Amino acid sequence: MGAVLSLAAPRSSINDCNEVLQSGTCKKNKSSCLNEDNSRLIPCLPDELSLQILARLPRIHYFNLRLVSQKWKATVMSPQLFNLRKELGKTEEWLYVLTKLDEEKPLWYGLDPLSRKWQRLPSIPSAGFEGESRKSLWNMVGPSIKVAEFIKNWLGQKDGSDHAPFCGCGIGTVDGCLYVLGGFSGVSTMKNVWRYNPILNAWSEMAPMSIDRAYCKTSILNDKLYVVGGVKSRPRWIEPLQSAEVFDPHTSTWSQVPSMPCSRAHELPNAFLADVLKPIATGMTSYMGRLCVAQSLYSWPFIVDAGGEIYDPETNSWGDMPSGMGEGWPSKQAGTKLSVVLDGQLYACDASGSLDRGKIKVYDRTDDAWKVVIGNVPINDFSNSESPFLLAGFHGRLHVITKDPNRDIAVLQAEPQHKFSPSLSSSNYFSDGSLNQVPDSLTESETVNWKVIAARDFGSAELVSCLVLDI
Amino acid sequence: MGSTSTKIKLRTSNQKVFKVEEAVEVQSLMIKYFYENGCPSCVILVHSVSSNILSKILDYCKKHVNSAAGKEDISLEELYEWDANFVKVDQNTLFDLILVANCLKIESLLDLTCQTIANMIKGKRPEEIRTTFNIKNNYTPEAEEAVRREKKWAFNMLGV
Repeated sequence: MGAVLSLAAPRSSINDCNEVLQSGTCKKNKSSCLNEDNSRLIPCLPDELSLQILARLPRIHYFNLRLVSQKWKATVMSPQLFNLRKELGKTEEWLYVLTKLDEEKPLWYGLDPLSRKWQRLPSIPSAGFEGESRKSLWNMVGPSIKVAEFIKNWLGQKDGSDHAPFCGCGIGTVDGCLYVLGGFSGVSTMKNVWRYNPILNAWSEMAPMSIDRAYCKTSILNDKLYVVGGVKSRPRWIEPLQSAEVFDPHTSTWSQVPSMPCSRAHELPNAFLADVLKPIATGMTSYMGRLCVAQSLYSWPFIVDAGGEIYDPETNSWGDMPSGMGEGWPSKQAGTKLSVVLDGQLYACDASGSLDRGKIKVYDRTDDAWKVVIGNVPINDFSNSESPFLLAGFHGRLHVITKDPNRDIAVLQAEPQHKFSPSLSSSNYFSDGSLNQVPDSLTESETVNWKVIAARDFGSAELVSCLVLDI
Repeated sequence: MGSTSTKIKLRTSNQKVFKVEEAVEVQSLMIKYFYENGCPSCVILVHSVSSNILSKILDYCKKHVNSAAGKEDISLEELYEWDANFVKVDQNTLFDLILVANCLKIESLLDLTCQTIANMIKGKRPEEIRTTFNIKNNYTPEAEEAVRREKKWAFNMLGV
């Protein structure tokens, strides 16, 4: 009794191999190595095996591999390769930092934390980001000056300089891509959405939001991108938005989400204030399977902290945020990235209170309070910068992105004295209450070593925000 | 055959017969599949696989099964070192190992061998990769220059 096990053409499953065995006819094509078989990635191997090899390379090498041949280029820019990386657990987290140069241009840089190489991303191909019209926002006279003042106020800028903030676009990630949403073009807000696909290293325009927004808050939840609040330009004024919507990357469509309520607004002492003060979303993070939105009440020129609201995608409804979480939410700001969830814990940066030191706090659900876990975040507080530092979580560690004394952009990794808490899995422990204890080791140690994992001179580019992509 | 009749045998292209131990079956999902699907005593002809490659592969399987089962006193580091030495072979042998590991479904060996080739690619310039694997450059000079420019723009950020 005999069977022939063939090592011929690409065979990926046992069924395939079995078919070969039964037919008993196939043989390995030994001559393929000698053939100038240029239809293959590597002449000696079936392409599925070459793919296995390429998927095991760090993706910083892919730019180089594109030069080998046209087929290599097509392969390292193909979704199949990146799907295989995911299957094999070979994905890598890169940090993407949004900066603005001078008064105009949003510029993105990617950092591969392992090779410490920075990649400059192509510019967003949109007229909306060209300078001339946008600048006029800041040169407007008359009642509209409120626009500029409002946003400066909101951004927490400490001086009255004429530095224009960036365009006010929201940023987010979903499905391995980076999204830029809305923002200002001149005095008008936009509804346009752009997507950067790191596999192709290219931007493309996506389905627009249902309304135009600037400074909206974004977060990923259940593989969908949520957008909440922001502002919309009206003739002569700016309307704070409470509406929300969600983008599904698989269907490329937007759907409505119930508008963000503001329970605090109803607690105001009189109807006049309730009418005048409008809630705006000033912080948002996906935490334990829900969207946690910190709010402020705004009526030019006043901004008052106002707790927050929590959206539950399962019931498609909003509920109150625990008061300690909302009131203590550190550094409520628009357009920047100061909170992050790492190993199921919600962290946020608090830059207030000290000029050269920030704090990182963690939310303790049991006590409904924010507690300082790291008290020695080094910040060089340049008053012109709207975001003197940013917070990111990758490689299982907290990172702070800030400008060092040489004004280089530096990425610092927190190296705790004690290893941080064992990871809590992400979803669904909001309700059961069993995993909500913040480990003692977190509160014991408030100082960490900050290790510079990358630093680079980006000239006068200022930090705006950052994101992490894992592909 | 007699006492070994319950074992699967592999016959190579040069007519050498290898009796496969149970241990090896565990490593190779393919052989395990044959075994569990009523072919415990068949002789599998592994066409065009030389006895050299097959014996190397069986060595690998034995080593890993024995160490996993604690039959061999070997630390994880020593096993890594053994693996590293195992793949110190010429490129054609490495490709043969990949092909056989893939068809016999020996996942850990496929990982080891593919990673070895990947590491070879890492430090090389595109021209060196072409030479190493005998790949023909089918870019027009203009198209190649365009790809080169995109790379340069992305990574040489002098002056930004």
